[in-house]
Amino acid sequence: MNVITLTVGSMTNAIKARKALVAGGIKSKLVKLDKNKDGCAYAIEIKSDGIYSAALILRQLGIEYSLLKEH
Amino acid sequence: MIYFDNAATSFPKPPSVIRSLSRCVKYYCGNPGRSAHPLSIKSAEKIYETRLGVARLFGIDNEEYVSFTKNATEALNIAIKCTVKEKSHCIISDLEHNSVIRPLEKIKRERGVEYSVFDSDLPLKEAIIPLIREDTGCIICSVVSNVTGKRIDITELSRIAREKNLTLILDASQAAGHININLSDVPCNILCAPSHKGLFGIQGAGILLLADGIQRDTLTEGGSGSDSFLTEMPQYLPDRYEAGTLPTPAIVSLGAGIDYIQSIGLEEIYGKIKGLTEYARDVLLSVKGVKLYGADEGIISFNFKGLSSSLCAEYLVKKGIYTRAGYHCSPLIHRKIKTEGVGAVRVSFSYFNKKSEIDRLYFAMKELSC
Repeated sequence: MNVITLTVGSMTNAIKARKALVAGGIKSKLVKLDKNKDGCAYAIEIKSDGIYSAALILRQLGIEYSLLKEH
Repeated sequence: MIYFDNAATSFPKPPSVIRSLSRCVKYYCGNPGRSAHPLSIKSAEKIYETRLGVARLFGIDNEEYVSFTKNATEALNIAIKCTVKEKSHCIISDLEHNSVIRPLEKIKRERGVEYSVFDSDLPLKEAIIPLIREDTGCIICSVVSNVTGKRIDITELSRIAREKNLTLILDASQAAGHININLSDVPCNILCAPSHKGLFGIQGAGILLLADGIQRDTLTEGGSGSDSFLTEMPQYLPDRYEAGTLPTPAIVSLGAGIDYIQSIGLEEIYGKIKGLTEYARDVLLSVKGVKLYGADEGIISFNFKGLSSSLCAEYLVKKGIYTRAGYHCSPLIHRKIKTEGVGAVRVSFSYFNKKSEIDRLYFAMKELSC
């Protein structure tokens, strides 16, 4: 199973996103990245099979995210 | 010891606040929003929970509109200096604290801003409307006076501000924690409050609630924990107004304080404080030589004939009763009640005060009058 990293920007967004994903039954891990376009950023790692549900949850919360990588 | 100085800072704090604070400092207080290790993440989670608690308390949907400052004064400085435009005009009440007056005076000198003061004893429409000019942009007002306890009708104030398309900045320093301020019913643009008074947190944090979500200029710039190559503060809230390390223990204590208030209920807290104020007012009025200036919303100011406020307060300290004397950083109201030169003794209550403590105040003042 692949892991997908979704960049969400600030720590506040990351916490908000992680809580919502956990409440939605999607396991996630909060990580910090240092290769974002403006420097460091917070991101959420989820398993690739959860991407669609995760995307829906983040959109409903109004959290902008970008798909950084699949690994 | 009888503590009647809750308008300065509340004491004691609820046991749950002390436990929360102790757990934070002992077990997990990392730097929130800087690293990705468990201490940093846990601290950030706790701060997020406090943001949620503040948002719920004041009836707003978006917790990102809640920024944390170091106190209400800093929040008011940001609110005023980042909102009031150059050469514009503001309206303030005659109840305002120096945390409103001094920033206004500074931008008056630096940016040609002018301000008018409305009489809080008049009906709001009568007091404010005549002061509105073409260049008026903002109303800044305390919800409750820290000297007389006088409460402003913020429902009416909000209505006037919206009708006249004016930005409304509320100083809720003496109201938060016992008066229900629901911004979905009583919209304002910005609300400021400290952690350490009615909200039962410790000193070191303040609330800057940007209820209109509008991104303004910043007052302080520094590290925000992400987007390090940007040379400006982030555009998004709350990070835009949170430069530097947040006061995590103070914010955690604020969250615990709000939880405590919600567990008791604002109505219950308000009722008790109202009852204590009315009892203390009646008790003080019965003492010959006492002159009362105001008694409402948990705050009473008075003087004793022939005695300066500081000497009276000193006498009360010897009786184990702690109050505050002087001008309470609020010059306008003291000029209005003609206490320039003497100040006033202020007694202020929290949910933890008791009628029996007010009885001790009565006996102390009665001894003085004899």
